[in-house]
Amino acid sequence: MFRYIYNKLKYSGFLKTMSNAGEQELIESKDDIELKTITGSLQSDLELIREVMGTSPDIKIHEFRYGENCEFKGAIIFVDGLVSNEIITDSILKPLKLYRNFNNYQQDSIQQTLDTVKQTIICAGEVTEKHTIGEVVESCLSGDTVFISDGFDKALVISTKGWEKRSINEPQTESVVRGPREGFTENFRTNTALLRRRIKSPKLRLDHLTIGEKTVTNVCVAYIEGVADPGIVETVKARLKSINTDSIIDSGYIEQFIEDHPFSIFPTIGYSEKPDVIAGRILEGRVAIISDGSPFVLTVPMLFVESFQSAEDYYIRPFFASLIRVLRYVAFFLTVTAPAIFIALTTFHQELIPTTLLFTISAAREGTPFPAFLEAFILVMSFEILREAGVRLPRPVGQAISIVGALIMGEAAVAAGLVGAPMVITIALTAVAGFVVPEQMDSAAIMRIILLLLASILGALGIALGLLGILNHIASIKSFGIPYCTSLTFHHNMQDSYIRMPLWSMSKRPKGIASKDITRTNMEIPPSPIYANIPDNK
Amino acid sequence: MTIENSRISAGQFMFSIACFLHSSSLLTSFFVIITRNESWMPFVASIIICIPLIVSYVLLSKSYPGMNLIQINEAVFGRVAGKIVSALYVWFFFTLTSLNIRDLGTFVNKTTMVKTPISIIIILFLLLCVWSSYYGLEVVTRYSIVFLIISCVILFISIIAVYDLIELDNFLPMFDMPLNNYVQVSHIASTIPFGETVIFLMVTPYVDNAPKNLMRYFLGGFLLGSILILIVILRDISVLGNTIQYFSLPSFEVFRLGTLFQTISHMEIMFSILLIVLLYFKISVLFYVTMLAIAQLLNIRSYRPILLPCAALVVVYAFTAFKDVITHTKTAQETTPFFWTLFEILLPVLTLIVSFVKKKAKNKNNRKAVSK
Amino acid sequence: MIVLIILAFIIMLAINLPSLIKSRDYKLIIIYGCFYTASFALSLLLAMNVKLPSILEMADSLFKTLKLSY
Repeated sequence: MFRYIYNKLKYSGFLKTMSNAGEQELIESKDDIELKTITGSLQSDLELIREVMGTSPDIKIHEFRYGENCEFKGAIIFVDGLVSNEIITDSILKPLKLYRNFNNYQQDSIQQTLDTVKQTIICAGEVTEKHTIGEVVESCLSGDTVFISDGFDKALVISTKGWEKRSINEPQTESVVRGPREGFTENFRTNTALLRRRIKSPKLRLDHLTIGEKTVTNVCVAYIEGVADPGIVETVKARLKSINTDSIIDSGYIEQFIEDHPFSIFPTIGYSEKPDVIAGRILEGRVAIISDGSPFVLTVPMLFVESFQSAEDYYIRPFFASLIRVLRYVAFFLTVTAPAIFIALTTFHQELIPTTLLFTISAAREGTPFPAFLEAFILVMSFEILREAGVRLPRPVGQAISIVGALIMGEAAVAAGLVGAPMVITIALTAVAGFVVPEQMDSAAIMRIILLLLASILGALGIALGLLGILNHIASIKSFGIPYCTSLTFHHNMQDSYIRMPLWSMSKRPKGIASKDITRTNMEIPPSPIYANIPDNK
Repeated sequence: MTIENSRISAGQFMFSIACFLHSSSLLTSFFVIITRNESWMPFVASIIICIPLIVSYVLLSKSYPGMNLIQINEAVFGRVAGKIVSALYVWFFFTLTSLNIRDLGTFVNKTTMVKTPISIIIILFLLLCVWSSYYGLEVVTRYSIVFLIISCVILFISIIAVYDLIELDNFLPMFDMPLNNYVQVSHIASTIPFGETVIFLMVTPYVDNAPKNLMRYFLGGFLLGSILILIVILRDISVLGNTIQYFSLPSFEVFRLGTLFQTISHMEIMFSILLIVLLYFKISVLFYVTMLAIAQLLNIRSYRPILLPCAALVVVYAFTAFKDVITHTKTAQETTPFFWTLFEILLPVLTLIVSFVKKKAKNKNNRKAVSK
Repeated sequence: MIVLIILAFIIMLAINLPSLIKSRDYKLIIIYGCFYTASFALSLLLAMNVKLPSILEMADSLFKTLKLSY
């Protein structure tokens, strides 16, 4: 039992042990066999490769002869399904088998023959040389074709990636009325291409890493050199390199490994599925992390006000955008505090409710069996259940279940006297308002429950204490060195927080995030109509 | 030595002084009871009197740049006497924290949560203050501007709500009371809200761009906060007139009387929110400064471990300081001004004079050494 | 009430003590101990309704005898 407690304390960081040596033996080191280099003998190489990769039927090994008199033996190894068969046939096999100029084989060295094959014969776009079995296997499993031959001590890796991809369509989580409708897909190269299409500056850097022992996921760090703070870029790269796990399946894994405050309810790393949003953030000086296999791209650092900024805000004119922005803040406040305020008012401070409303509410609460807190809690939980079920509903049944939900929870429960109608209205408003700020929905759900509990114990004082505690927490967390509540408290960077100033007036990039290239534009005055001089036709 | 690593911006400094002062606008009952409907006159006089006081604080801070009040005391008076003076200051900060949190607890108990024991309310608020002090100066003063803006908005709404009840006749009669009353009220006003800004001498080393523009920001914050209190006093007098002496919380009554749109009445909930938020800010700044002063005095590495025991001491002190609210109010009107004068006016001015004398002596010695 | 106070002080010790001992700063530990025992003793006395002397009231009577009051 003491060992159990000791382990729990160690996990929570209370007792940081003096030496960390030998503790993190999570990842097994590479097998020795993978460090062997390619020998010159074809058969032994093929045996080594078969031993490492196994004998599944989708790993194809095709041995053939090439050369003028078919005197050379070679083999290509590829994984069926990951490669494009046309490239293999047209660029590798046909030229190799049809090349007829190996006149001086006896005089040429092996290296020159290899160079001939690499530079003259194979007609693919990217050909590299690899030495060890480990590298060969890794390239093979990434979709490249490996060519080895008798006598060559290196293997040629030819890029032949071609697998089934999802086409680019509108992301389901972030739809806009006005604005581009492209979204990232799960394919790494498509994502980087979408980003490059938005930012054609040569200063856009995409630094490549691989993370994850077994998944060997490709991850790239995107930033604009000269605009992004070099300290933040280096921090991101250092944290990514220190991730010591065996699988990265989605960018959410990466987020949870590199975040600043893993125990806080607020997310400190932002994400998005749309390339225009990510391009806008990179241009402000942030750093983006694109990961293979996930359509969600992370951006770092993230501020609290970013959850209230949607892409569409910038494509419409400032007045309506400011109104919607203020509405989002009000909606967030409502979704967090509405159940708590309702409970506090009806339980502790009845004198604050206007008299006619007081009669209605008390009449509704007259016959309900549960205390107010329990009623609110049950309704909030039922709403979370409904939402979760709605995500996973199979489409044929969706219509029927939504009717059942609305009828049972709305009508029948109120008619039976289990819950009161004002309570249902409040919780429904809370729930719908929660969807206005999707990035903070998880933190809003937790804050809602905490405030509900505090309000039922201490009334308005509880709400005040809860809100002050939340404000304290927001003030104390930092996202990669930038305080989380920047732009909320009126110090600097206020042009884009509570209202959205016109685009021509946002002449500076946010201070603290962009380091060097602070000035965005030179305009700063409203655009005035310029008429081109049309010469009179006399 | 650096106990405190964070820096706050000059704007944050100015607005935290303003918010600190504005929070005293809710507890003006100390002096408003004495000069009833003429309270604004001695109040304006005390603003004018306190401007040189603030200037002397800034001069003291500028003559020892980068050192907070405790370090200045040690530098000026020497080690032993400096530590005695600093201990007096620490006791003073401690007392201020306890009295303020007792006020907050009493208010919440009497108006909103009648059956909750005061100790629970005080302990809960102190836990929040401990949490924010743990993270340092920047978190403590982070929301000063936001709270100030919220309180200005509520002030504006309240003026609109009681607009029909304002009668300028309530300012008459004027100059009807003995001179002693006016002097007393100016003295109270300059020590209880305004003199407490001496605690910001502990914070000045950690302000960005100090000490160049310190005068501007300190004075600016002081004037902003005091003018906001003046507006509140004027509003209260114009609505309540002479009856202001019967209420222990005049602003509360003003909110109670106001109506908006004929349906929203009983707006004292807004006053309660404002009081809780502003007093929480004031207590959190006071608590942080107390902890910093204790850590600086005892020369320990950081103030974080001693936060919780000192919070318990504050709670105990809050209950033993005065028997009840009436004794507290009576003492505040009669002897506390003199007692606080010792800490807020005499000691800093004495420190300033001694530091000038020392600098002159050092210059004379230097000139003698150079000329030799 | 006394049980709650004792429980609260035990929790306070549990929160603070591990990091204090790990830092091995003996001066800090002694000062912490002084504050802890002082606050523990005073809170227990307060909970047992013992009347503790108040410095402010003594100062009040002092100033009144010195005629320095309104």
